[in-house]
Amino acid sequence: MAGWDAELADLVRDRGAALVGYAYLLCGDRREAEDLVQDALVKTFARGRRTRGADADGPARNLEGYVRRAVLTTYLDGFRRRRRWAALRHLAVEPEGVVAHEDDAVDREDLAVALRTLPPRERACVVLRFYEDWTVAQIADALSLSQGSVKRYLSDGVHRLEDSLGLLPRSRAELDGEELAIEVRRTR
Amino acid sequence: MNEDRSELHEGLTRLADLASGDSTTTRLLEHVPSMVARVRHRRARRRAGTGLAAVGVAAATVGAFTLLGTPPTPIAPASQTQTSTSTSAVPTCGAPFEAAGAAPDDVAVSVGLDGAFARPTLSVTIVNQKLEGLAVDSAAGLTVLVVDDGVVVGELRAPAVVSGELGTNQVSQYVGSRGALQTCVPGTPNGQLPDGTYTVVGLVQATVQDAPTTLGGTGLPLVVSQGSMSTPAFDAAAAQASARASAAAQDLAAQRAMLATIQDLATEPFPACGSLVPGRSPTPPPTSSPLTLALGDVLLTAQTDGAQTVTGSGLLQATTGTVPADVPTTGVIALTKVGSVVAVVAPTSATDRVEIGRTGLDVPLEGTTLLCGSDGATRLPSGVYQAYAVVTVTNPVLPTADGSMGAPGDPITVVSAPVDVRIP
Repeated sequence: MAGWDAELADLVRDRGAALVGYAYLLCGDRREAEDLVQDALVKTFARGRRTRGADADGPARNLEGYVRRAVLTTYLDGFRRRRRWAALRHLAVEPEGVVAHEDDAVDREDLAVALRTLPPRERACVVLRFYEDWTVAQIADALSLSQGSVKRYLSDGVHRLEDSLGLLPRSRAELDGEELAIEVRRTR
Repeated sequence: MNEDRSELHEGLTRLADLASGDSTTTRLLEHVPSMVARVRHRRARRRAGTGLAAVGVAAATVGAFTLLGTPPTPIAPASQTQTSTSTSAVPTCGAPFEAAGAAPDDVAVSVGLDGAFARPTLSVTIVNQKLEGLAVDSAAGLTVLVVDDGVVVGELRAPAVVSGELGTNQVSQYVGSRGALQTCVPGTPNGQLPDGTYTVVGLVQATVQDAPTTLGGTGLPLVVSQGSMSTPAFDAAAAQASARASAAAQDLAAQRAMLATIQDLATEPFPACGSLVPGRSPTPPPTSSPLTLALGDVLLTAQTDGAQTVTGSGLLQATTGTVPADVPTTGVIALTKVGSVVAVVAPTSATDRVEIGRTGLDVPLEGTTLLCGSDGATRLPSGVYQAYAVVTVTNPVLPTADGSMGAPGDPITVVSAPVDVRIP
């Protein structure tokens, strides 16, 4: 392997775990996360994405950005197909638990459970905002939503998480700061 | 946010780190060969799909040709004319009429007028012998012109006489009353024609391959006598039988020629040239098979030298679990006629190790329209063929009853259900 296939292998070796972690936050299932990453890698490399003109972090970082975007779109495109199965999955498979640590700011097991209560777009907005550190404008652009819609998803998502986890004051404050800047229009 | 990272951010980060785990990278790396194979397949499929704008042919469909208004009855007296196609405007009464150019024998249109001027019996017969993609525009319908010395002296417009697609070797007939004949002969009241012999022409608004076209006959004699019209007898049934017999004879001759070419080659198993199609039906393969193959659209791509390549895509799936196997980078489309393979390309030897799952693997497919056994010198005659997708996987590892993986087994040849393909 010396071309794109070597690039793929390098990306998996160097950033595969991080990509799966990101995918897990979106879909909430470790195996599905690995499938999502594989599908995204195949999509990205099948398109023949070139890494020339990469950003300052180098070609791998640039390529990883393409794959992360593909993970997101694959997740969102597929959620309708998965929804039916997801409604039944708990009957066949116990949700994968994570080991909690007492010093966690937010108990991870609770957080994993709470995340599963969010609808896909809401969940994507929360992950992109609070994990990927994207701005509302970036999320709106990536999801083809208005910024107002993104704000609404974020607000509703944090509310839902708080229903399970209790108040998230700093997250709430961060969100409220943006809500002041952009009027939320509940059009739907 | 660097200084003021929220609890949520910290929680999500730890959750992602924990979910990815130490073994994730190892597991993903094990799948790299499979991912590389999938990428190759997708790239090959994209390449195969390039330039398909030239000619696209999918499964052959022959639509019903709908007769509107009065149900068909035995045809009224008329006679057959050769027909030309053009996009010229339909002339009106009083305008000069010129027959369209050279009349191809693709479509025959006959129009007859019988009876009184005020309510003549209109008879229309359209025999499509070999024009592909013919459809009649129901809104524009039919215009009947009576011509005398190159000038239109009468017209009858009959919207929505017939409508719909008319496949090759199909005949449509209509007989009924569709209104009065309007005339414009100087010195003669409207609705009347002096006694004599005229020419009656039918113009049918149609589309051929979605392009607007006027099907126009070169004209039939129309005898007017004592306020009544008649056209010579026309045996529609004979014309229909003749058209079908002619097409059938051509088809039979082409089949004989093809089979004569391949008859000595049927020594190898399917899909070798000349081999017989396995006993399959359009129903899905038996569920006991570890793999299934579905053939999607088949596309014919015109080449600059006039030949055509056949491409398509197949979906290879495991019926249960996952089947690791060496899958060819390109599968084969075999074209068959009367149960024998008449066109096929040699399978590629390049393979990728792929895990075939229930979600399926896209396999690009290739074929040809050149008659096998003719050293590429003969193209398949036009007509409908049955296309089969064929993929042979090697070293398949089938899951055992206890869920464990066994040793690599014998090659498995997976054949799709047939799809009809029309070669123009």
